[in-house]
Amino acid sequence: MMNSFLRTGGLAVALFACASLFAATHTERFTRDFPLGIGGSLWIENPVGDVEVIGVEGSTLSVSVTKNVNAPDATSLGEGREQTQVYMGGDGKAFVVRTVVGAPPGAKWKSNVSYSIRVPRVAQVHIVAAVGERIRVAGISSAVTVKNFSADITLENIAGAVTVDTTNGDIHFITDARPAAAVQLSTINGGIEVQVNPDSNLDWIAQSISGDVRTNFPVKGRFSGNGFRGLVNGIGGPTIATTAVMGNIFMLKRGGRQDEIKSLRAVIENSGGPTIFKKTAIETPLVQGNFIYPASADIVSFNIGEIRGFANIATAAGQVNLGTVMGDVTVRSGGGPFDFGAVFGVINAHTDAGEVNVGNAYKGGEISTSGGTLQVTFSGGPLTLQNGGGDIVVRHAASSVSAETRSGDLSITLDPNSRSQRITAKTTKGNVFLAVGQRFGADVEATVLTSNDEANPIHADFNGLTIKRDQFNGKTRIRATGKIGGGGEKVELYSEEGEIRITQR
Amino acid sequence: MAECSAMRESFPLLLTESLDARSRELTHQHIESCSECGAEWLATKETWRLMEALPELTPPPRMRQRFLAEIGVEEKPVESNILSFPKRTWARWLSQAAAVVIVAGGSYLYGHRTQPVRLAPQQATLNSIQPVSIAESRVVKSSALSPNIEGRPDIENVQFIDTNPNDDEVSLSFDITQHMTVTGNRSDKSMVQLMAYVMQNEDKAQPSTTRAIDIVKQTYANSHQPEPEIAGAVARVLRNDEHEGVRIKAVDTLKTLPTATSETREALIAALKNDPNPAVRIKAVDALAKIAASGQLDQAAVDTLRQKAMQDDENLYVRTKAAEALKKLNP
Repeated sequence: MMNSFLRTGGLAVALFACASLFAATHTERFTRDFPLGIGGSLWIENPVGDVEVIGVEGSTLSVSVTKNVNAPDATSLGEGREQTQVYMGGDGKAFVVRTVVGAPPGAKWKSNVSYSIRVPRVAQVHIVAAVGERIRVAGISSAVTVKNFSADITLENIAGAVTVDTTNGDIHFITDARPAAAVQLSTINGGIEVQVNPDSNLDWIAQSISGDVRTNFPVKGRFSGNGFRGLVNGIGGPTIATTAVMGNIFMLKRGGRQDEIKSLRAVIENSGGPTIFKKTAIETPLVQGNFIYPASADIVSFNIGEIRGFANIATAAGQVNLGTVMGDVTVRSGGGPFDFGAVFGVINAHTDAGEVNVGNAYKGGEISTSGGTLQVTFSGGPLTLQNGGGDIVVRHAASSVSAETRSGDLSITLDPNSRSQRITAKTTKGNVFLAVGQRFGADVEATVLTSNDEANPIHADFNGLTIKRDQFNGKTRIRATGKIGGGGEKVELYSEEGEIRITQR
Repeated sequence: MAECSAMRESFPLLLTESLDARSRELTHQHIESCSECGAEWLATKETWRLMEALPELTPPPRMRQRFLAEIGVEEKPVESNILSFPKRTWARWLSQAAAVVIVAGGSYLYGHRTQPVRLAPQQATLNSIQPVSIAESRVVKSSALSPNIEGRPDIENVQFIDTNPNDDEVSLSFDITQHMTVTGNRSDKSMVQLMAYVMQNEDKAQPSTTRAIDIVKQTYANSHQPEPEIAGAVARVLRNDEHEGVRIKAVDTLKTLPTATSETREALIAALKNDPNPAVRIKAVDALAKIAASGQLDQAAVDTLRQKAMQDDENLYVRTKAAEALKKLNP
């Protein structure tokens, strides 16, 4: 038994060792030189790998290529080498260096190509690279453009115009000189660092919706919208536009002091209020008293387990998750979903975009979203729901309900013991479903406006409804009116191009 | 019983309408009151009907001569130069003899009608089955139509067409309302096409397009079998429906479908760029991020998400969602 175990284990180790042995990396290096005249341009396309371009004197373009292929076996390695190709060509005015990777879906191999290029200083440099760790361009006196998905980008001592677009990478623009040409740097999830000569004059634009903007330069300017525009040192410099949607932006003196770096909020005074947004998250399991978050232009997400008092929140955007709130809830958001667990007070909540999910609204309230599903599990007080587009669902209403959506389905289930409640449910595109208890009584007025003149869109588990049809605005209007359960509060249901269904539970 | 025998004997006379009025009335009353005689009467009538359908045959001359000889009638030779007119007596006898032959033959047939017909077993061969297609208009040969009309289908807009009065062919054209139930596997091509058609046939979809989309989502979401037709149909709803609630459902459904066609992607990109409702845009961000993350980096999807994250006048939450979606991409 023991011998068998040892043999099996030994075989497994041997197989693992063989597999490790087969896992191979192929590295191929070569360098090619080409002539590139004054005013020429270099175009680089590289889907996977690093790129370094250094400006040098002279008129020779020197391209050093390192091609790496990793594969678990010799066959895949060969395929990877075959399918990873470098093409170089052009004339004295324009030269293209391109990597072509023809990886089929499910390929076992991976490859990357790194370039280290010496280019005449006066040449324009254009780089399109998808994925890599680093892109570095230095010592170029002409225009530079870089477009990239995820590599960190460093530009050093570029005298010409610069345009950089990256999605997830950081951008570093560093120059000892005073910039003389326009610079445009933008990243979505990365940060931006600009270091320039301390004597530089710049027209600076900074935009970020959730990051901070910091500098150790003397800056004058103002906020407009969600960005800042101002002068660094003084007038007369080129425009440098920095956009880091979710990251921080630094505008720094080359060789300046770290402790002088301050947030732009502190630097700019009397600006009419900060509108550079900073994303924060407030998370706490318990708030003993009231929770007040004053009107703010910040993107703030709230995740609070319990509030013993009332909640009053105003935010530019973000999620608002409140577990239990003993008092009233008042929330205004420029966008983002709401999730309230149990609210013992009255709810007054609106979001410009996003879904709203309320567990128990014991005293009801007014809840609205400009778009997204709106759902209330239980309402114990008068409830008004409005939706700019999307479904409305009330799973258990022991109160009156007024619900309206521009388009979407409406589903309201009343407390089975409820004898009568005033219900208003309107949708301009969708269906209305109302479920009532055995003892429910109401004066019903259900209307469907439809372009299908043969439709029979009103269904009820009750007798006593009179159905009439007429033409209205070129459509067929079907109205069902009458008393159910001996009559009671008014139930008003309206649907366009849908159906109305009243069921008894 | 004796009455029954007497009545049955009068059946041939009743058939030939040779009974007087009173006897005829009595016979009919008996047939209605006696089940056995009623059955016998029906059988006799059926036999009579069958005999009517039989072709009239002239007996061969030798047979006729033998028959006439047996009954003691001599057939006179026909003079060649005189046109003969057979006597009425002879004609009556001949017709009676023919009637006897026919009745005897019919009785034989009737008596053996219940014997089972045995056919040699044969291998059944099904050559082809014509699939039923759902079409806006169809021309059917009457020979391909079953003579049985089931239920009472509504027929409107009836037109009678006789293109050529000199032949027997005519046409009958009409609109028919038919309620059809199609049952099949969700991945059947015909079922997929039908689902896609129903979803886009907005005006006739009952209860509504939103319900149709819900059904499609329940049926095809997270299915292992990609259905480009379904994805395309939902994409067209997302592009074209004027109601945001419907578009929200459409984009939600697209996110769960396993297929991302170019049409799907373009519809999502268009929704993210242009849809006026922020909830649609938020869901389009999620759906596009899913597409962009599957397989190779989808440059068009990435560019649209980037553009949205950078857009100054966009809802902040949509911008944040777009940026977060891009951050999660790991090509």
